[in-house]
Amino acid sequence: MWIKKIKLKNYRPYRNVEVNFQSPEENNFNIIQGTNGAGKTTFLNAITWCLHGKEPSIDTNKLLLNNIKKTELKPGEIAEVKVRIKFNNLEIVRKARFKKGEEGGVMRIPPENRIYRDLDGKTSELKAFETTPRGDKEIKNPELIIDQKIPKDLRKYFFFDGEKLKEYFEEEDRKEIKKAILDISQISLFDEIIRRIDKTKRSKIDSKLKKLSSDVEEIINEIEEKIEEKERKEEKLKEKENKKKEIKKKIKEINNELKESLDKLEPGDVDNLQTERMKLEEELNRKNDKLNELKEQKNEFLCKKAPFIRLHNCTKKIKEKINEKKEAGDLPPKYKESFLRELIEEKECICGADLNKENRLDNLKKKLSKKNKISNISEELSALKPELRQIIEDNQEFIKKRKEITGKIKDLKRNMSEKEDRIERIENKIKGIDQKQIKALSKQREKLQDKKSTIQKRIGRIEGGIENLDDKIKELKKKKSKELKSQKKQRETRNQLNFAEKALNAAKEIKSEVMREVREKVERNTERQFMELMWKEHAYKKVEISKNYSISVKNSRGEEAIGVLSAGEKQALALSFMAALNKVSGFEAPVIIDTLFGRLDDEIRNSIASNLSEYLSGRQIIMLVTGTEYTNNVRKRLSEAVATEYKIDYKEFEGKGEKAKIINM
Amino acid sequence: MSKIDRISIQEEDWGKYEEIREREESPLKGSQNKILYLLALSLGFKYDMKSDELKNKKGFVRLDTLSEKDKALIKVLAIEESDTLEVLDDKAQVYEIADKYATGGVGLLYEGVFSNEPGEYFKKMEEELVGLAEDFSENN
Repeated sequence: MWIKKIKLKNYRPYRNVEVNFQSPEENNFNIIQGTNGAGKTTFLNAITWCLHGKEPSIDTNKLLLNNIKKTELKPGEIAEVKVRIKFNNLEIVRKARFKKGEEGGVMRIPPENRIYRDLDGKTSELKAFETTPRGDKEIKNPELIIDQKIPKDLRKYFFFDGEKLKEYFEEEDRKEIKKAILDISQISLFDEIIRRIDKTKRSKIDSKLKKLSSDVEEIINEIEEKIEEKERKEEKLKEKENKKKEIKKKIKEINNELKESLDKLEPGDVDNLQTERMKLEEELNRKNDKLNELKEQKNEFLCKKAPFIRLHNCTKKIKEKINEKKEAGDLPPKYKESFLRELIEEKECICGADLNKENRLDNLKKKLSKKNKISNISEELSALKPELRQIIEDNQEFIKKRKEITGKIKDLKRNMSEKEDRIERIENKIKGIDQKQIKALSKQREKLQDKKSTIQKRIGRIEGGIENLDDKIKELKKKKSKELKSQKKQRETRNQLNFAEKALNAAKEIKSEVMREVREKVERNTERQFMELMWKEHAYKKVEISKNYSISVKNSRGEEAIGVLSAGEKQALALSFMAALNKVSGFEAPVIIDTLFGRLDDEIRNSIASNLSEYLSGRQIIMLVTGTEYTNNVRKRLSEAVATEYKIDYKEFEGKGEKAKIINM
Repeated sequence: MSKIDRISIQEEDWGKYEEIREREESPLKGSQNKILYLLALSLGFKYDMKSDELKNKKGFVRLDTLSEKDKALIKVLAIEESDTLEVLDDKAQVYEIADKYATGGVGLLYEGVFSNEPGEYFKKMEEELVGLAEDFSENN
């Protein structure tokens, strides 16, 4: 992967700059020369800002926006900072937007802000495009694709400051070396794998195992117990059923025996007949009482009626006699005898007339003598008459009433007779039967029936118990099944645990192996690069990176020489180490080196320049150099590898800001 | 003339009444005195068995225990015997006539009660009454 073009817009001193690079296939070096403070490191930062949003070694409080642009902005206006890096197959664009406030302050607009969004509908500062034969195609996750090409963590091994290289081998060299090797080994991936496996193991598998109980055995035992109990009950049930069957058989036998004995009997048995007979007899007794009652009623009726019937004709005659009297006008009388007697005694009528006159008194006396006793009993006769009429009517009803009572008696007698007949028939049926035996059989049968009933009750209870046990077994089986599932889950979880543990160990082993391998590769490459860079080739024989990541350089005599290396030798060693890391990393990213030659003396600078193109061949190198380090000797030695040379033209405008241009040399 | 408040029997007949009323085999056992009196009266009348004037009278049934119909029957007998309605004017005579017939009839009653087989008494009575009733129904 190599950079074809870098476009900077309003990025710090670079207002509108475009730098093109060639394919590294032929000449892989690109030189950008600038004085100190002209914007070399800023250029490097523009690249890291575009890729990773970071600007190493820069005061980030300073606004990205070019100061001149910032000054030019009017309140409410929006300006854009944009860095575009076009690789051979990828284009990355990062932009930031700024707005000048009413009071002159300029603020960066966050991408989630509505103002930012309103400009082009986008909510992200970063974009990536894949270069395809049909044109550029936007990539959805630009961060991801950048990390795949130039991982953030490894960036410092591709874009670095030469003057800081020697820091690797200073006091805490071991720590830095180890970190570099770990970074380049992408060990963090293994660490992440290990961390995740461990976390999964602890948080999910271990806790799951804790939750999964293993009381299936207990449940199985309980089920077994219940089944055994059920079997025992079933056995008991069977026993009782057999007993019941036996009893039924016996009852049947007794019934047969009774039937044989009572062959002529109607369906039923002696007991029934006897019961019936008893009932009939009781009923007969009751009927008999009723009959007697009716008879008594009839006798009483006869007794009461007899005098009246016997005197009926006489009664009738007297009644007629009274009627005759009535018809003759004697009843009721015109006046009472006592009234006549009173008038005769008083000799004066109630109207005051003198009865002595005109023979009135004699006439009254005659009337009195003629007056019979009827007048005195007329009231009695009047009262007697209806009684007689009633007597006669009652007498005439005699036949009817007597018939009614007699009818009742007859009905009762007929009914009684039927019952007596039935009793007689029953007696005739029972007659000749061995009553004692029947009684004994009946009693036996009764006992058996009681027994059967008791057994039936017990059977019911046992059946109920079996049903309960069935329910319980069913419930336990469900529980067991659930537990089994849980156990299966437990097994699976244990397998997961084993797998996780194995995976963890494997990841640790692989990590260790990879680290060892990377360390050895870095060691070999560093040694090779260092030997190539060193002009005193004969002086150093071996470069070693120990297991604990301490670096040592052995001289021809096998002695440790790291402590006696010159500053230039240390820079060469660091550059070798860096180049080794770069190579071992496997990433084909361009290398951008800022101020590589720095304070090196000419000899080492020339040596490095002579060998640099060799050991980083095929890789695009962009070197940011000052005029003092990019000497004619260096230029001469690199000339065959250099594709382009640029110069940064930096100007400061007082009170407004700075402006840098990158121009072809 | 003392007011009549009860009907009387002859003291000699008391035993008969008592036997008819008390004896176990009597079909009329437990009957009221007035029933027995009227039965005897009616039998006396039927068979025209009238005693002479009662010598040793013994009160037997209080008049207030008799129904109006019972009293009417006694009056009918008196009217029939005296052949005049006026007899009613003499209450003593009315009951004297009744007493005579009852005294005359008690012997028949006693005989009927005790001379027949058990059950025969009422059977005969029933036959008698049915016969009489049928007769007067026919003549009605």
